[in-house]
Amino acid sequence: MSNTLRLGHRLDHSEIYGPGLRSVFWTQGCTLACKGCWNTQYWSSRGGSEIEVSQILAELDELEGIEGITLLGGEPLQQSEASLELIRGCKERGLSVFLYTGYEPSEFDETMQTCFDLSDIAVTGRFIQELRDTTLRWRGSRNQQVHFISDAYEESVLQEQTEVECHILPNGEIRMVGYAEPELSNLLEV
Amino acid sequence: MSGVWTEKSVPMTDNECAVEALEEIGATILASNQNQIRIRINGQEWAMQRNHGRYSIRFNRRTQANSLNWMNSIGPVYEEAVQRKLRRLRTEEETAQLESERAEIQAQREAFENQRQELIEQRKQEILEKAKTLGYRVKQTEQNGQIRMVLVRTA
Repeated sequence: MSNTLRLGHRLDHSEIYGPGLRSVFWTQGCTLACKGCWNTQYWSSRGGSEIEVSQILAELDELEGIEGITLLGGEPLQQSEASLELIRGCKERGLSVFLYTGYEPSEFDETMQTCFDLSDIAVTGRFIQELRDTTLRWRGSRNQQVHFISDAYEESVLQEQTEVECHILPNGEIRMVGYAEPELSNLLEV
Repeated sequence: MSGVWTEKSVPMTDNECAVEALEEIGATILASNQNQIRIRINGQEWAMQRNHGRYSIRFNRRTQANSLNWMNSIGPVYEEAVQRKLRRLRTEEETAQLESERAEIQAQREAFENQRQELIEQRKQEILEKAKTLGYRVKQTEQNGQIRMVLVRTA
C-alpha cells in the first residue's frame, strides 16, 4: 500500500526550483517555523490535502517534458516515509530529484538520510532571516547549503541569480513563485 | 342543344398544398400558378380556377359529371397536406430560431475569447515592463494554454 503525502501546493512545470523543467511539490506541515519564512501557509499539518504517492507518480507519468521533481514545503522530511517513496518512484522513472529541507544533515534520522542520499541535489538548513539573500539561486539565506549528491548535475549549473517565475493562467490570473520583490508581487494585487 | 354547365369546387387556399394533394390522388400537374392549376387525371385534362379561396372546375353536368368523382376525395387529402406543411414550417421556424440563438452564443463566445486574450496580453505586458524596469531578463514559454515567464536577474 502506498504512503500518503500531505501537499500544500504543486506546480506541474517550473524552471526555477532546480535545473531544467521540473514538477514541484510543496509539502504541507513544518514544525521548524523559521523566522521570516515565506511559506508559513505550509506550516500547519492540517492544511492542504492528502494524496497517495502512487497517484502522484501516475500523474507524473502523464506530464510531458519534465526532467525531474522538486520537493519543498513545508518540510518534506517531516513526511519522510512518503517522501522516500516518491523519491524512489521518481528515480525508477529516470526523473531527477531536487530536495529542499530545513534540517541540517547532522539532524537526519535513517529515513531522512536515505531521502537525501537518493536525491540528486539537496538544499539543507534553516532559513535565517538575518542571512536572507535574494541574489542566491535556489535558496533563501546564505547559511543554506547546496549539495550535489549524484553525478547527474555538475556544480557549474549553480550560477547565483535571482529568479522569479510568473504563470499567466488561461483565465488571465497570475501566479508568481520564487523570490519576488514587492514591485513584482504588487502586480498580483487588485 | 344547350348544355348545362355547372361548377364544382373545393376549398383550397394554398397552391402548394393543392398541388401536393392533387398529385397524391393521382393527378399530373400540367401547369400551376396562383390562379389556375391545369391537371390530367384519369385520361382527362382539367383546369381548376382559383376564386375566393376555392379551386373550381366548370363542367358539363350531363357529359362530365362522373368524370369528376376524384374531386370528392381531394378535400381530406388537401387538409393532410396543409397539416404537413404547418408541421414543416414549425420545424423550419424552430430551426431558424435555434440557428439564431447558436449564432448569438457563438458571437458571445468569440467576444469573451477576445477579452480573455486581451487580458492575458495586458498581464504579460505588465510583467514584461516591470521586469525590464527591475533589470530582469525574461524567458517566455507557452504550455497547455498557460504562459510561463521566467524572470532572471544576475547580480
